[in-house]
Amino acid sequence: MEPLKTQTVPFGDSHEFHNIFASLYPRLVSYARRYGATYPEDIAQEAFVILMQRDSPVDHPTAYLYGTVRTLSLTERRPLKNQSISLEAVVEPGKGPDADEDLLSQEVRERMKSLSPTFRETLWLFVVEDLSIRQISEILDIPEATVKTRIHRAKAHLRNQLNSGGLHVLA
Amino acid sequence: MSWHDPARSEEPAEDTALREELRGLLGLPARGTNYFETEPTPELVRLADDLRREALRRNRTARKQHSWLLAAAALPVTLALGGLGTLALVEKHKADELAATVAHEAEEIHRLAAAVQQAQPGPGPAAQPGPGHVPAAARTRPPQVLLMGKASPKVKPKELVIPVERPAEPNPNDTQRVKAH
Repeated sequence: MEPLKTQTVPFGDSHEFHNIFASLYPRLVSYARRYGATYPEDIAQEAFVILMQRDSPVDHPTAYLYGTVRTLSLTERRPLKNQSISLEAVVEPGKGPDADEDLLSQEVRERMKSLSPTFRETLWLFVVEDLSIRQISEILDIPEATVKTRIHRAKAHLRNQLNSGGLHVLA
Repeated sequence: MSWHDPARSEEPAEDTALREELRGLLGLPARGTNYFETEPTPELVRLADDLRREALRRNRTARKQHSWLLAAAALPVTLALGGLGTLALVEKHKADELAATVAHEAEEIHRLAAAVQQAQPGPGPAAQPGPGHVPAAARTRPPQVLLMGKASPKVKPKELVIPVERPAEPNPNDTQRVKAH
């Protein structure tokens, strides 16, 4: 296989692209897995190809990649609706099978699971994926104010949970 | 396209503080530890190059297909428009020819009318009709009263009626006697 020439590279410097790819690819695979994708690696790779295939550049490539992975994962799950499978086999968004096993501790996983899927998804992108509120609003296709509201509600829920847990310990 | 993302670097301080607070609530380690920090291994580098090559290949193929599809879709429309344009030109040519013929005929009629008018002897200035002038046609026409008497069956014309006494014996001379007053 012949090496790529610099002038044909759509993403500037090869070295920079390799570093970014190495950083983002595992995160995107994990994100696709959280949505219950059967082939999360394929989805992450497809998202990169779609981004590089574009004629016009995007403002926030990271948010674009996350949004594409989310859309592809949900699209992959869509045909399941027409199949006669048990409800337990369908994974709800943000609750992929053992998606967080190797990333988060048992305690953190339990706290995340106590949140509703909507809040959990937003919180995951904000805290674990380290994305900005604007990026999250682009990924989820919702206003920034909604993202902030979800994050603050998730925070209130976690705080209440910690307080009630503390009371149990004292009792 | 640049990988530099201003949305992340220009994040407000309150958002950063909120993230740190949430990390504490979840029990995550402090910022700086990235769970996904990965060095570009040879496998990842190869995969990245393959994906970029695939994107270039798709880009070229998609553009070709796109242009061919556009050309194929535009062909019937172009042919229809061309046919309509040709038909419109032919009809316009016909209309122009007809208009020119009509104009020529009208001009010919005007010319003939002018020639006929010039050929007829025109009346002199003395023959101009005066205030009490009666046209010749009106002079030759019979009076309207007589015409009315003849035309209407109810109006009988006035006439002298002379009663005639028939003689008992036939007049051999076939003459009639009239009393003289």
